[in-house]
Amino acid sequence: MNTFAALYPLLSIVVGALVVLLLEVFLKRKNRDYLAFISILFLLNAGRECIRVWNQGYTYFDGNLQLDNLALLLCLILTLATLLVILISMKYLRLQNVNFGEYYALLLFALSGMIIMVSSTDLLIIFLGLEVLSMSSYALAGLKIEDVRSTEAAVKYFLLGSFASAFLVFGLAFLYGAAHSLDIPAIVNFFRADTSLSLMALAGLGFVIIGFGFKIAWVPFHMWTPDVYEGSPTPVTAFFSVGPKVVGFAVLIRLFQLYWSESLNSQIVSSSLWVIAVLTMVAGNLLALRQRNVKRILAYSSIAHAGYLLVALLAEDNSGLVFYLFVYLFMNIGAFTAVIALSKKGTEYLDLENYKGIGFRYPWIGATLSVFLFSLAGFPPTGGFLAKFYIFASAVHEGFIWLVIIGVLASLISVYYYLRIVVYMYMHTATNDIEIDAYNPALFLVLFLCLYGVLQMGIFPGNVLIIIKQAVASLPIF
Amino acid sequence: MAELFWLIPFFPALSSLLLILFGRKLPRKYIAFQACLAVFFSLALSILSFLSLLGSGHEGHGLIKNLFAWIHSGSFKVDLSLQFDQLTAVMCLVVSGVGFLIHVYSSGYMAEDKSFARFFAYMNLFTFSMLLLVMASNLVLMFVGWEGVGLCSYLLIGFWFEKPSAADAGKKAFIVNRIGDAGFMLGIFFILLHIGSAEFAAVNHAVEAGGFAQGLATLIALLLFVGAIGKSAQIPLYVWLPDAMEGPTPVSALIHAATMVTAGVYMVARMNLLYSLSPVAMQVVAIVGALTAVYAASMALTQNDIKRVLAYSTISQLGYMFIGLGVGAYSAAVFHLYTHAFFKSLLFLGAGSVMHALSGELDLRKMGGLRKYLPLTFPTFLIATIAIAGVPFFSGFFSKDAILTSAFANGQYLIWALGLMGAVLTAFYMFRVVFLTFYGKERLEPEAKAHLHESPKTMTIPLVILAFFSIVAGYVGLPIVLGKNVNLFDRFLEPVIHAPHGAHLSLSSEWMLILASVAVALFGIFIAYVFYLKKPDIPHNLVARFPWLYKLLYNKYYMDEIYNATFVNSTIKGSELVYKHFDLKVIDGALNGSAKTMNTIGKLLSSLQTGLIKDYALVFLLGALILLGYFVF
Repeated sequence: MNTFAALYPLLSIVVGALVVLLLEVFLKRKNRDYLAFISILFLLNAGRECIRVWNQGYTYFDGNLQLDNLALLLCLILTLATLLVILISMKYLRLQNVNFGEYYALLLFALSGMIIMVSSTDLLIIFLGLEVLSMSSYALAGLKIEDVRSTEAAVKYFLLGSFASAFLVFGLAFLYGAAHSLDIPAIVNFFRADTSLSLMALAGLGFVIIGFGFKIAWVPFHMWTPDVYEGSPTPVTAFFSVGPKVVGFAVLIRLFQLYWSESLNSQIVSSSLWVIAVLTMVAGNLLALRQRNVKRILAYSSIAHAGYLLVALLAEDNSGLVFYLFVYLFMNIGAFTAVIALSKKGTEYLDLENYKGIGFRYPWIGATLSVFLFSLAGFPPTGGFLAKFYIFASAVHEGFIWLVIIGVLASLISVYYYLRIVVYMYMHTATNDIEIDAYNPALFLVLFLCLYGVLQMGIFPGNVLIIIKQAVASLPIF
Repeated sequence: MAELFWLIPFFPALSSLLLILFGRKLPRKYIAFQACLAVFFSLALSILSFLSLLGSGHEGHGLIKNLFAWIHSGSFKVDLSLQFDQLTAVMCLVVSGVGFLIHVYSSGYMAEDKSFARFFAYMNLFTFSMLLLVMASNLVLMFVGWEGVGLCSYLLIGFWFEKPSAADAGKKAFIVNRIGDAGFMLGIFFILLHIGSAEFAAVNHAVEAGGFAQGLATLIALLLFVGAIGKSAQIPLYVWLPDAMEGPTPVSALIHAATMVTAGVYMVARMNLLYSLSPVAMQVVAIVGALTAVYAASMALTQNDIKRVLAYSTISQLGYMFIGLGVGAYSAAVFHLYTHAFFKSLLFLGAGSVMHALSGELDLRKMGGLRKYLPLTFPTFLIATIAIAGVPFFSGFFSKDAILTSAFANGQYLIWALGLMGAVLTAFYMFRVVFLTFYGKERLEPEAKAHLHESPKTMTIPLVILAFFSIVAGYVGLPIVLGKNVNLFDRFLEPVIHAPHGAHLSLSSEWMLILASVAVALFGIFIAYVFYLKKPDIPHNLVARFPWLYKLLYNKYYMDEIYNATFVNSTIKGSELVYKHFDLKVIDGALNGSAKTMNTIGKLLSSLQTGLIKDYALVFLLGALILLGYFVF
């Protein structure tokens, strides 16, 4: 149904961002926390709107904005991610002296870009959303203007991001030239009807994959990830590690859901993605082995997880993919929250050395961080285990035996670097005194929310799966 | 209110959670109060749900509450759903009722212990697990409760883990139970494989529709029975239960009477339709039960530790329940479970009270003449003893008689004879305990005598209540000779026990059987009286005449030693060999080697990570070119 109501979630976010920008002028620096609360109100409202139009299938702008169930579920995931990031930012921003009001506005703008991306099937609109997201991201990465690393991260992200955007636009042009449309269903129909391999269309598809591969951080388009993740303020890193991945895969789900089933040239795409998946899983995990900076470890781990997600995409297990994204949101933001909690004014404790004995000094942080790491490594009874299990099971079902073997071996490697953090926390005695003053109710709220999410999905995934199945069912079937 | 029945298990769960999280900071009085209150809520709700079930008449199929879908994977689906039907009602009342009294008793018994909160947290968790087990409406959820009681028994038996014997006993209980659990799990897998659902209703439906071939039914029934053997301590997996005495006495009472060991009996009764399909499995159950009943009773004859005597008596009584199940008298078995819960918990709590009075003394040889010092413990303990011995008009008589009569009626004469023999032994060893403890000369240690005192009210009041039920609980299941339809218990369970009723005996033979059991019980008591009060030198003479027999019994047939020599030691030796030759050399070698390789590759890869944008763009571009080249050509 074409109705203005389809715009409410997006509108709520954009209006929220504008209100925050305006109010920032009138607020004293120490009162900036109010902006966070205002943003949270708008986020909650957006979430409420998403839930309200569930199953309604609203559209607007002549169908360019489509709020099908998949879009709504992803909107909810993204809104939740942003909400959690805002909650963990408040104390951090004050402690690191980067308490700028624009921060919240930028986050909301980034979110609005992502919402546009997940709720459209027109690649040009999706590109617009991507640019909104990217612009805000560049600014967010460089938020710590006095920190060289942060600035460096922003510049690197900007330059390489523009590079990737150019690829994407180029691909769009090719695709349009071949298919005479940028609407995903039309493109897919073109591919399915095409009996000979059209060079232009294939090249266009390749460029598009590269463009999104950059955002998602697949090997070999991942080089920016560790540096940007390390340099950015930690809450922003948490945001980067979840948001762009979700939207990237959302677009690819729509592109490939229609594509695989019976297309002549699907073999080429599938085999090249197969190679990318292997590279991403293996290289991501191997590179993480040698890191001693926790943020860098998590950066490489997020690359590896992009590889597992790609396995789900190859296996056409859309509900498994969304489930993985959902679990990933909780475990990754949870892990970053614990990292943020271990900081004090002007300093963040990021080196592994600093984690010695943390488990006994700060039992709650240690215990929850351990659970998140176990989940990232894929141990039962956490959500990370089930997510991996579903993905690998359906990949085996689809005949990707070798891919699964490599994936399992790669995740075996990952156990080493995840558990190394746990070992440092519990089996080494503290050498240097770590004082933290990031204790904050909001941080603990997020820690426990994420803990709850990880365990709920590991032990009682039933209800979540039902919702995901409903969402995935809104994709067209051929 | 009855629709809220699904809340029954969650009161103790919540209380346990609170105690685990905040227990250390709470005052002792509050801890005990909360723990008891939580179980009391479960009891109250069980009673309400039971009453509404009674009100709904005999057609009532019980309630099912589907809380949510737990596992959804393809066609495989398990819901977290609880049910409350007649069988569950009986179990819930027993678990929460006896459990509540034991909780109250514990608040007095454990008053001096330093880990007060931890104790009650575990006790609540134990109660929760057992309630979950009996209320689950499918086998998978039941297995969760099944494992839960296993875990809790481990925690509670090893509660005083500073004592090595307690820690060992905890481990033993856990490991032996694992063996049974393996069989139980296999049984569940076969059911899932065969009918694709673990719901009891679906299993029963499939059985009625002829969905199980007899061979398959036998296989599944036997596998499930392996689990029951482990949980309910039957031959050959009974060895953990006597050692479980290392835990605090209320724990023993809880394990022996209300929770844990009854799980196996409950499970078989729950699956009665499936068992009825397989005469072979039924026969195995009956034989194992009968052998255990006599075998365990014979070991109880010579033990000098009061709690050990009770432990063997539990094993023996569980054997009776399995006889009942094996001969198709499911409701009689559950009936015995229900009466046994009262008098066995009373015996344990009474023993605990004696221990309390004697500053922890357990040895029967160092007691005697306590009658006058323990004015409440003595009569209640005596009532329980009379009940378990099978003297008419006490609860144990009715239930034991129902089982033996059914065995006889079904033509299982050998089983019946074994059961009768067990009954003599039971009456004998139980009265031996009473005579040695409360009658005769005082053989107390001087310092124990100095502190001799009756237990506080929190401990004695539960004793009195349990004593009351030990007398009257049997009157809901009167034998058929007193008139048709006087067995209310059977009729109440009818909607759940689908199995056909066994052959009926003529009234005169029923009377004969009853007289036989009465005679046997009285004979056992008489012998004990002669041996331990009248002519105390007879036992010594017997030991002198048959030293090998006494040694054999006293050392429990050397079963622990045999298990150690055959299974335990060979496992340890084997694993040592594997560790030395395979683990250290092959696995560690391969692991270290591959770890080194991985590390080197990681080093090489990270040398690409120069930090320079031009290099990053170059890698990006190379990757893009290769991909595009592959696409285009």
